[in-house]
Amino acid sequence: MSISQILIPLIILGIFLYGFGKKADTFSSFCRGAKSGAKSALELLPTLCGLTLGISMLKASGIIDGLVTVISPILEKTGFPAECIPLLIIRPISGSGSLTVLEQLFGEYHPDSTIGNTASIFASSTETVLYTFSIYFGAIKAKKAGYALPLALLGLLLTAWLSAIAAKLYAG
Amino acid sequence: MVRVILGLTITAMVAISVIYGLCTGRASELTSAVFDSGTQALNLVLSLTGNLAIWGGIMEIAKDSGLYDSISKITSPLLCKVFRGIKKDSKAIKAISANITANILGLGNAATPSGIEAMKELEKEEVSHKRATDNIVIFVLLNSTGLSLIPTSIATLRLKYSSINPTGTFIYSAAISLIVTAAEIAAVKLIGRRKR
Repeated sequence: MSISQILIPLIILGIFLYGFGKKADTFSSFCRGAKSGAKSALELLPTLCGLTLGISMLKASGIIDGLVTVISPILEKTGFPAECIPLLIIRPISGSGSLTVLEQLFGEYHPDSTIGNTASIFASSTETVLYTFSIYFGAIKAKKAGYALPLALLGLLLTAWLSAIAAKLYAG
Repeated sequence: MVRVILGLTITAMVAISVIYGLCTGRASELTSAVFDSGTQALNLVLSLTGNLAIWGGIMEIAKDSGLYDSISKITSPLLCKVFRGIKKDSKAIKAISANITANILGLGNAATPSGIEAMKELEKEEVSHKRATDNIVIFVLLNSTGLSLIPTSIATLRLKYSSINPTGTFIYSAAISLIVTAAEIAAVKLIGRRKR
């Protein structure tokens, strides 16, 4: 049993006990939340279809494998697997797109491989930067984001590099 | 803006794959990719729906029972140190901590409205509307690094492809989020100081 395995059961126990202790209507709350969770997952379908189409076609054309062979030697020094490059590109643009790429990576290399772990760590420690920027800056009058976007993209690259290191640490 | 980028991305993906694929003689692979992708997308959504429902349900309990507010109360003094010149019980800090708590708990739906409110409140605190201030930049950056306790969809996918430990990588990703966020905030403060 590792911390990561104990954590989730404990969090769930904590939340249920807290709700029970506060005499909240736990089950009604659960159902309401589950409904909105299921709804947001189902609403992903159209976007996911479009992105899966694009990504499967790219994969089928063989261009991804071609690029990986070209980029691999350059990336080798950083430790970031070239197979994860498509994820690096799509991550700031679209959340459903990154899920699609992630699924293809897991299917091809297994989630517990170095590639799978790097991809998992990178995907879960980043956000859809461009989406966030367009929504948040769209809501206010200040239109000049200044150095915010370059900084966020730099952070994304730093995360990619750290993910590769962490995947090695995780494998032991 | 995102819609336009997505439209361009998909068009580029299709164009590149058709041209490259036809040149390398992969027409049949391309055709089957087209017919496979719908099923693939549907399978992905199916495997996500159940888990996102369960997680959404659990987090709704946290929200309704007041756990969410208690966490926000703990985070707000910390946030005052990050956002300079913002008072502890201001509307801005309340919106920011609601947003951060929702992000950490993986409540994407709850994070966006409080995030937009926080942006508006932060802007009110400033006189000039032309350029984003340090506080606004820091807040958007906080939302651009994926600080979250349990990335449910990634765990679901890892489990779907029979990972031995679907949640094993999460401690690493949480640590990396924290490091990168801290580095970004430090950079904003440094740049801000040099400008003054």
